[in-house]
Amino acid sequence: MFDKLPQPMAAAVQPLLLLTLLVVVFALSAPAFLSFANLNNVLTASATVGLIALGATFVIASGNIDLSPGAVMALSAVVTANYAQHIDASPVGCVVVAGGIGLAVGLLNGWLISLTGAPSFIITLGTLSVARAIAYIASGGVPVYGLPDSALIVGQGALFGIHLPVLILMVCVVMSGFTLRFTRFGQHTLHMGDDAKAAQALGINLPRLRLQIFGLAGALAGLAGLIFMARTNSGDPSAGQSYELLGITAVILGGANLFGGKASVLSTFTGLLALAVLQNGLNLLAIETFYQVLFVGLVLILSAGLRRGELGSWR
Amino acid sequence: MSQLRSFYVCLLVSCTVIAPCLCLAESELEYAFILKGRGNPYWQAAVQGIEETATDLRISHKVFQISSDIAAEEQLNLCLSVIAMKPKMIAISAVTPAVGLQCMKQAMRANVRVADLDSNVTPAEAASAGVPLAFSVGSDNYLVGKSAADYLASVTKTPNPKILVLEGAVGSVPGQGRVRGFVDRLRELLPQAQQVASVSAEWDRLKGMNVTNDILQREPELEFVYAANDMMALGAVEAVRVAGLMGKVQVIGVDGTPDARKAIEEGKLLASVAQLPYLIGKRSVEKSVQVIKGETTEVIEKTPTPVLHRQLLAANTDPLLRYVR
Repeated sequence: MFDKLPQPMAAAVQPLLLLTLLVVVFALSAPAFLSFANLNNVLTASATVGLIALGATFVIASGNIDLSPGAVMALSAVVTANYAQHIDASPVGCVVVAGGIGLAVGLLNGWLISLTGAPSFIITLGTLSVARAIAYIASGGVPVYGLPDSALIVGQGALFGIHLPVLILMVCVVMSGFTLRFTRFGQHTLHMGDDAKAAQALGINLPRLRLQIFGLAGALAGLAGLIFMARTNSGDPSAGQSYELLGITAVILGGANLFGGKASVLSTFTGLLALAVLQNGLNLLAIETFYQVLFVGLVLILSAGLRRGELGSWR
Repeated sequence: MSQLRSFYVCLLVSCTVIAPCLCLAESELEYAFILKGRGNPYWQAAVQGIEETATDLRISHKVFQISSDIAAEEQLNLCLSVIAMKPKMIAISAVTPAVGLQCMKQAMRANVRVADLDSNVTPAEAASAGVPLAFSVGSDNYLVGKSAADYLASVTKTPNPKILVLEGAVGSVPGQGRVRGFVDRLRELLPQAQQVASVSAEWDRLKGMNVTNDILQREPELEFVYAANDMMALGAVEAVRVAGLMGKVQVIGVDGTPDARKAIEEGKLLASVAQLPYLIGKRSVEKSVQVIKGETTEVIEKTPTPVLHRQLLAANTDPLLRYVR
């Protein structure tokens, strides 16, 4: 839908097969799996990690890694919760604040990477700690509870029976897919990941592009923090721990090259759904948590093994 | 062809892995218990209490757990999945009151009865959110802290002992209750006691050791360490042992875990305030069955929190000890 056929569709085939397989297995084994309410739950549960995964798609496509989204999510949730409690609880105001917080941290990431020339892994590891610490300091370490109803609409509202987090995720998927595939920004991102020196030689302003990429990823993480806050009715400074790894997992399951130059939003989304279906199905079967973690790991290794050489290699 | 081959390999591996699970899937679930992280011995004891009692009562039940004690959204997602299975009753040990109430509200809409396990959501909080709680069973963390202070006051030889307090993870509601109860009671019983520091060791054994080690450098006259859980307490014991201060610095923990009981019997740990999670699990099953059968049951039930010390464990006569796991 978003990508020029047939290449991106081909990239999405394997995660799609995995997704289909999981859906069939769980539909046969867990009676509640195919109910509308449960499928709605699967998508709702994917919303926060999904937004982070969309940001990670751009970051990974450009040959970078962003480790800060989970912490940015927590910071955004804490600040937005305070804002909603004391200043303005309107959904639009909350979206602006949450997205703004994420955008600010994302821009900071991009700027620092260009300024220092350090790998994105190191810089974002630093901002991860800084953002998490500010979230704890701003909240005094205690989750901000009891938010006004209007601030919760984004997480708990529904339109035609579909939860708003699902609709937000879908809108972001469509926009991200279009942006990566059909805009100059998206093409430059892929060029940068493929060969940064060549991209620079072509006249692409890499520092500016980096700002845009990390800014976008940060804003999406901020939005994820808003959804977390609105779903759980709390601005929790411990929110989103390891979510960045889940986001990266979805991107890799979708077949992106970890070293840049190759990624597709459609594939990421399919990988995300595969993860969510796996988690939900195992929950419905009451499989113990430890085994759930094991299954996720096995699926990732299996997926990587089947795409030997396509995901990026040190050799 | 390669895609087809991949598909068949996926199919083969997935079926091999998932097939045994299918055999375990039950067609109808009546009682669901949603707990926190499995890696914690506290919850392992609670699961044991639930499983053994449910087996005795022959009810259709499942215990669901999340990956850690702070995974709020993961617990909310799990709760929604459990509601989709349409049980008659869900008892949840919520990561936060807000998540517990969200889960309960969704369950109510699906006509599922809800209960609090381990005092994470009070009936008053539930009522103000429009959720009729079937019951709340668990220990009172504030009283746990008070019990620890009572015991410390009963054994101290000086009226102004120097005390280090090891708090749980920052923001943890049970952790705050345990510390607040201890500090408040200590102020009443030993107003001259000196609290040299009150810092978080994040429920972690190694961090408990490191913090105690650091404080011992600054306060060599330290006499007591109160840790809000046994993991941190045992870390503090190690620091005291390494510093050659065994017997001079006494450590009190909370939870009554097997490791802690062993340390108490060996004279390394002074005491541990037991939370009896096994009993909490057991009572949650019994009360759930009463609710579904339409029998009356106490809405708020506080489980006892005995202070385990060397003499008590050696005598082995306290009836509550059979619930210590």
